[in-house]
Order: sequence, then C-alpha cells, then structure tokens
Amino acid sequence: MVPRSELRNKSAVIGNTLKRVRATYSEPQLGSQIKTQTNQENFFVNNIAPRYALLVDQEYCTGCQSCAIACQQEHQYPAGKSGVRVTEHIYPGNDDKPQIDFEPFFTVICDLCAERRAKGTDTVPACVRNCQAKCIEFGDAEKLIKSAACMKRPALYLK
Amino acid sequence: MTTNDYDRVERTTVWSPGPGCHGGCGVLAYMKGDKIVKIEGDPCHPWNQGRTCSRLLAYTQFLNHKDRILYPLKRAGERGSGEFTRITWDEALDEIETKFKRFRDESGAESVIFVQGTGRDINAPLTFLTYAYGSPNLSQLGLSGQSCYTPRITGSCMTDGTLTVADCSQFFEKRYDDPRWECPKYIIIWATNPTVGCPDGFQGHWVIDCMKRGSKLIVVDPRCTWATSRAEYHLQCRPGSDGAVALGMINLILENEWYDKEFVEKWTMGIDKLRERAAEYTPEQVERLTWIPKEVLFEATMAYAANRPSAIHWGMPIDMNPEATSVAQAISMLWCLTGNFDIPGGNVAARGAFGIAMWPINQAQVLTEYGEDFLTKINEKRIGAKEYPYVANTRLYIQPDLAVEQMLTGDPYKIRGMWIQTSNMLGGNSADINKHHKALMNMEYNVFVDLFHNPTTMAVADIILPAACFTERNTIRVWHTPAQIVRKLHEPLGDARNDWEINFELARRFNPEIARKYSTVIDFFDEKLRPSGYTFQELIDRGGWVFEEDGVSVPYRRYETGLLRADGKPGFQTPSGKVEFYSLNHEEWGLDPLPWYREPPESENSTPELMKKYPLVMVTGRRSPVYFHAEHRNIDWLREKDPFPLVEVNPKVADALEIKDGEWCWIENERGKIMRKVKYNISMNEKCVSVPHGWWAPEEKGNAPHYYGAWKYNCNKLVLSQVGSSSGYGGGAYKTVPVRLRKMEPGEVFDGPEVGITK
Ligand code: SF4
Ligand code: SF4
Ligand code: SF4
Repeated sequence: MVPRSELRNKSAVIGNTLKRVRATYSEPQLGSQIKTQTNQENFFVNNIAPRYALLVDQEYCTGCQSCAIACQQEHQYPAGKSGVRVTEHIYPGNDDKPQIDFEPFFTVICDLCAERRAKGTDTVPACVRNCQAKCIEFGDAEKLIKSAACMKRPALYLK
Repeated sequence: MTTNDYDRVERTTVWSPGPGCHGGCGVLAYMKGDKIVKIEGDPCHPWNQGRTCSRLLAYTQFLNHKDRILYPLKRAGERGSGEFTRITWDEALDEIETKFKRFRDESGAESVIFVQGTGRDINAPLTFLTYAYGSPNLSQLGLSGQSCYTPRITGSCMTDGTLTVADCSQFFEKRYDDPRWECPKYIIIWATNPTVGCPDGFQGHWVIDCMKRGSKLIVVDPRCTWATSRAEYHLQCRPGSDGAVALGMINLILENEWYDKEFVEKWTMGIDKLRERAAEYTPEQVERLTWIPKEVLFEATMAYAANRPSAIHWGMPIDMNPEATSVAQAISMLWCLTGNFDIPGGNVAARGAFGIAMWPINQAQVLTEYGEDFLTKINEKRIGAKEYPYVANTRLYIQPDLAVEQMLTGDPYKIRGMWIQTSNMLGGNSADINKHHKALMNMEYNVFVDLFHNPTTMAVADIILPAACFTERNTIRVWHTPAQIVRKLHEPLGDARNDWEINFELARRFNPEIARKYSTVIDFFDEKLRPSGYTFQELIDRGGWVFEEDGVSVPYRRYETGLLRADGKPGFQTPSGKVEFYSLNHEEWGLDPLPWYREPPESENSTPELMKKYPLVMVTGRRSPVYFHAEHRNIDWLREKDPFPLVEVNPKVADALEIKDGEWCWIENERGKIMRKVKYNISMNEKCVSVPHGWWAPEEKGNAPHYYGAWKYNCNKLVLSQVGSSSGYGGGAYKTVPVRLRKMEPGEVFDGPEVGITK
C-alpha cells in the first residue's frame, strides 16, 4: 500500500489533477477508449494514471459490513443508502464444494470520502480505515495495479 | 454539520454498552462539544489496529436512540401492561434497598439471585454487588448449563490448570512484528465463525491476519462458512458430536505416535490410561457418531499434529455439548499432546496483565479476597453446589437449570427476588422461555438494569434502572491484556448511570464496610490497578492502556519458570503439578477422570422415534455480523443489513416441503412453534437447519401478550431446559434441537403467544 506519508503529500497534487483530468476525460469517445485499451500500459499512463482507485482482495472480505456502516456514518446517510454495499455469494466452488464469499460493491454515490481527506481527518476513506479484514486499499490507480498483482483475488474499482 | 466538523478527537477503548461486545478495541471519538459526531477504530491500538466492527461504527445511533431508557422506571400497571412511571434515583435505590434488606432478613441473602448476560463489563460490578449483599447465587440465569465459556474454562483447567487461547500475538504490544511470536502453521477453528464477532476476548479478524501470514485452516463446523470455504480441511460434524471428534483425534495421535514425546514424558501424567480410553473411539466409530469421513479426520489430525506450532481457537457450541466440560478436557489434551502448550503460535496460557483480576473468578480467588468463612458460607447455599462438583469446586456460578426449577417450586428454599443486569432472558438466552417466564412471574420483586425495553423488561420488570453507554462511563478492562481503561467522554444522557456506580452505591448500602473502604469507584479501580504501577488517571494520561513487559501475562513456556502455579514452582496448576490426561480432581469428585463422549439428549441415536417426527436438527445461534445476541434490532444501520429472523435451509429440503425461498414458515416441535423467513442456502447440510438466535422485533407491540414478538420468533422456545452434564456446567441443548418445518398456509397467522404454557 502507498505509505501514508507519501499519500498525504501526493493527495493535494492528485486532488487537483483529478478534477482536471476528470473534466477533460469525463465523456470519452467510445472509439478512442477501445483503441487505447489495446495498450494497457499507455492507457493508464496517458489517460487515467492520476485517478484514484479502491482495490479489494476478495479472498479476504468476510462480509463484516464495517465498510458499509463506516460509510453511512461518515456521510450520515440514512439506512438504505451507502457508498458501498456488501453482497453474499453462496455457490458451488472448486470440486463443487460450497463456497461462501462476500463482495463490497462500490456504488455511484461513493465520493472516496472527499471531505474526510480534504479536511485532514484521515488520509484514507472511512471504509478502508475500518475494514476488519484490511482487504481494501486506497490510492493512486497506477500503484494499486501493482499491489493487485500480489493479491489472491483482486478487484479494482477505478474512480 | 458533517462528521468532519469536530473540535477534538478523544482516545478511549471500548467494552460493552453500545457495540455490546466483549471489548478490547481502541477507539477514536470525534467530538464537538458534548456530542460524538463520529466514532472509529484507533490505528494506534495493538488490539484492532484501526479497524472495528459494524456495531461500534453504528454507535451514535445506539447512544442517541429515541427509545433508550434514560430515567429510573417503576411499574405502574400489572406485569406485562407495559405501563411504567418515571421515578428519581433516590426513590428507586431506597425502594430496592428496603425490599432486598427485607428479603435478606426474612429469608436469607440466598433468596435473591443476581443475574448477568454474557461476559461483558458486568461480571465485576455484579460480583461486587452480589457479595456485598451476601448472596451466593450469581448466574447467567436462563442460559442452560452456564453454557458459555464456563465449561471450556473449567474443563480445560482439569488438564493443564489454566485457560489457554490461540496465539495470534495478542499478548505483545508490537503484535505480529514482535520477534518472539511465530505464526501458527495451522489454526483449528473449532465450532466458531470468528470473523462474525469477537467473543471471548478474541478479535475474530486476528485469524485473517494470521492467514495472510501463512496460517492454514482446519475448521470443525456443521455449517459451511466463509472460513470453511478457505479451509484445507472442513470437518463437517454432526451437531453435538464434538466430544467424539476430539476423542477420535486423540486416538489417531496416540495410535500413530504423532505426539510430542519429550513434552509428554517430562510434563504430563496419565497417558496410558488415556490411550486405553481413546482406543474406544476408532475411526469407524467416530465416523458413525460425527458424520466426518474417517479419511478427512485422519488427514486433518495429521496436519495439526505434524506441524508445530499450530493453534486451536474454539467457540461456544463446545459449551453446548452434552458433557461439555469433558469435551473441553479432551480438546485441551490435543494442544498438550502435540506440544503446542504455551509456545509461540500455539495455545498460550491466558493471564490478565500484571495478574490483575477485576473480580474473583474462581474459588481460590474468593478465598484470598473474602476469606474462608465467606467461601464456606456461599458454598453451603449456592444452587447446585451440593449436586454438582464443578459448581461446588470451580467457578462461582450456580446451576441455572436447577435454579429455574427452584424458582418454581421453592425447594429447597424460596427465591423471592431477582437482580437482572443487562440480560434479556426471554428475548435472548433462556432455554424454554415459557418455563422461564413462569418462574420470573413467580418472583416477588424483579429489578432490571438496562438500556432499552425488551421482552423481559416488558413481561416481568418491577423496576428498571437506566444503564450508561460506554462513552458515558469509566471502567477498567483487563481481559487478558493490556490493562486498559474505558473513560467517560461526556455526561450520560438523561439520568443514565454507569453500572459500576449503580452497584457501588447499593453495595455501600448493603454492606457498610465497603463504604468505609472506598469513597468512590475510582478508589476501587486504583486498588485493582496497583500491580500495574498506574492509577486510573495515570493510565488515561498514558493513552489508555499498558502491556506488561515481563511477568505473568507474557508468554511463553511459563510452566518452566513457575508462573503458572500459585506456589511459584515449575509445572501446572493441577493436583499433580503436571498436565493430567487422567484428572485427579475428577477422581476425587466422583466424575470420570478421562474424557468421554455423551450423546445429545435428543438425537438420531438417543431418541430415534422423536427424530422420525421431527427429522431436522435445528442448530441455533449462528452469529450475524451486525448484532450482538439479542441486541441491535432497533439500530437502523444494522437492521438494514440483516432485517429478518431467518431459517437457513437446503433448497432440496425446502422444496420437498413446498416451502419457497423468502416465504415465512413454521418451525415446530413438542415445545411449541415459531415463525421464520426462509433463506435457501445450498451449503446447508440436508439434515440440519440453521436458526439465528436472539430474535424479537422492537418495532412490534411490547405489552402482553405480544412482548415484541419474542414468542413468535425466539428459537429458544423450542429448546429443552434441563441439566445436561454430570459436572453441572455445560450441556445446554441449543445446537441439537429436533424440529420440523411446515409450510405456512395462506391466511394462517401466528395464533397466540402461548405465554405461560409449560410442558
Ligand atoms: S470510499 Fe468513502 S464514500 Fe466510498 S464507499 Fe468508502 S467510505 Fe463510502
Ligand atoms: S469491511 Fe472489509 S471485510 Fe468487511 S465487508 Fe467490507 S470489505 Fe469486506
Ligand atoms: S465487538 Fe469487537 S470489534 Fe466491535 S467494538 Fe467490540 S471488541 Fe471491537
């Protein structure tokens, strides 16, 4: 994970860049997107490198719901509304052994705890801080792609 | 106002009212004035390292809930009417003092039973009050057989003289980075789903920290869970057969010579007798009793025995086995046989930091703290002490199944009053709630201390005192380490009070000596903390917690240094000073000195006829990540995640009964029926259904005959209430309940609460 000190320094810069990039990148042409995706390396470096992401190791998510409630508390959302929802999956796994997994799904209203980070309450979002399995990482997308390589079952949520 | 608009961040730790837990987490409270705007885990605290559970994160909804009881209440109408009037603290305490003193004068202090729920910050204040009043009767009444940790603690002590826990580095401040610690190669998770809660002073997610560092899992569980999906071996046992599993493993270890010869030779006794006993539990026999294929048991046992260090982390269902103390005795032999006792990454002796005990937990400690006369006196009248050797000789609880009978019959003496502190017996733990309801109705006077109304306060309370939440109160937690404080961050809402303050005040009134000895609760805390070298205030100033650097709570191999025995000699706190595979205590008390297996009272082997009528085994008590037992159904953020009282069933079983996913259905047996919403779960064993406990509906009507729907949803209504073990502890049959599922026909409704019917 990105060391906290580094993240703290970077977040100001990235924070600003993020807006700019988003502004120019907000409505990509479908065609160009497909084209750039053929070269992953260039795609991230040239187009969305300065984006934030949440990276989850789905192997370790235990369904504890801390992320969802941390988010609701952080934003004072009423029950029913959250930046992340946790889903249970029960299915036949390897050798048809019952497999039970949980998955945090980040919703469209996830704002990456913008205020929390901007005001300096914390360098990471509420869900990341309180995740009991410590299976969510937050940071700059390009770096997280590298972390993902070390994970068992990574899922990257680009924001 | 946003949650990032605060004027300071306060550091404390948590125990009980709020998340309801067994505690431990370091906490950061973001505050504005007297208000908590947000509460989260403290990244600097070694226990939780920043993370925390859903129940703590929802704390502000609990603290500020509109239904919290904030003032002392006195019953105004009939019991069950739900009519209460507000009174002052003075009125409440005066009335309780007068009544309880009258009971004591007329019928002896034993005529009042003092009741707690699970092991929260209540054992210490409750014991303090009970003994100040002079009653010998301390209990988790309702919980059949005291089947929660007590059997594991006392049973395993027969083997190695101490309680042990799986070593996840929790005894070191630097945790996983401490060079003395080693990661367990295997962790056997036995009868618990650790990630869904943190009972027994063990944060479940430590297991995950270990998995990330290389620990592999062996899971003993009738259910499939997140952990079984990641286990190398899943021993999917028949509910209630843990004793046979353990004996089968012991047999394999001895037969195949997988045990640690050096340790066994030097530090243990009785292995030959154990060998003979274990030989009765052949792989074939064990497969028949436990449903676990013998090949799987063989491989899993070998993996555990051949890979040192490995640890066993165990859960409450062990206590609910018939003859649970014997099951605990057998399981504790596994870590002794394999040389995993008190080594890095094994099962380590769990001692309170600096040797601090906040309350006397066993007979020896009562002797030191209260003297011999007092101990003799309380053992004379303690319910169950004459009949059951563990009740007489180990912990200080009564035998609760005998107690409930005695409340009904008055034999051998009359019980007149109850002090029930943060325990919702009828919505929660009581086996056969009809019987417990009747027994409580039979009492002259029931005092409650609680935070919310619940089925039990509604049904039987005469007076209710409002308890404070954890940020409204001071206390100490030494379970097991570090020694830490929970401190008051703001004034309590309304007239709520710290349990400690309530009990302290009444203790002073019941026993003037206490008034002479301590002027405030803080004096008492300071006295308890003395071995640490800190006062309560100094510990706050230090940041809230302190680990012992070198001493009784610091592992490892303390049997070599004498730290495990009261006399300071090397060895174990057992009669022989060794690990006893043949228990000399049991021999003296007339119990079988060797572990043995006892069949559940109702099962395919003991009552085959009954099983024809009720063919499914209801396993109650699987945990929800958002609830603590019978609490939190009224907290919006939590309820939303797990809204209904469910029954989890294999679709094949449900299909045959024409019961659809999501439908409500009946679960019934000879003791009554309840209704549950069906959840198809392909991972369920086809012979079992899983039924979460603690269900009542705070949103429904509370007065009689509704009691918030407790009689409609509470699965414990169907559970047998009887003494289930020869030791007196253990054997609450909550996991082995024969039932049948029945489709709810259109228009069929719950036809009455069946209140007061005792079969
Ligand atoms: S990053 Fe913040 S807003 Fe997004 S889900 Fe996590 S807590 Fe919610
Ligand atoms: S907090 Fe972490 S472990 Fe818990 S449900 Fe969310 S992602 Fe999963
Ligand atoms: S239940 Fe466990 S995680 Fe939650 S606050 Fe209590 S100790 Fe912490």
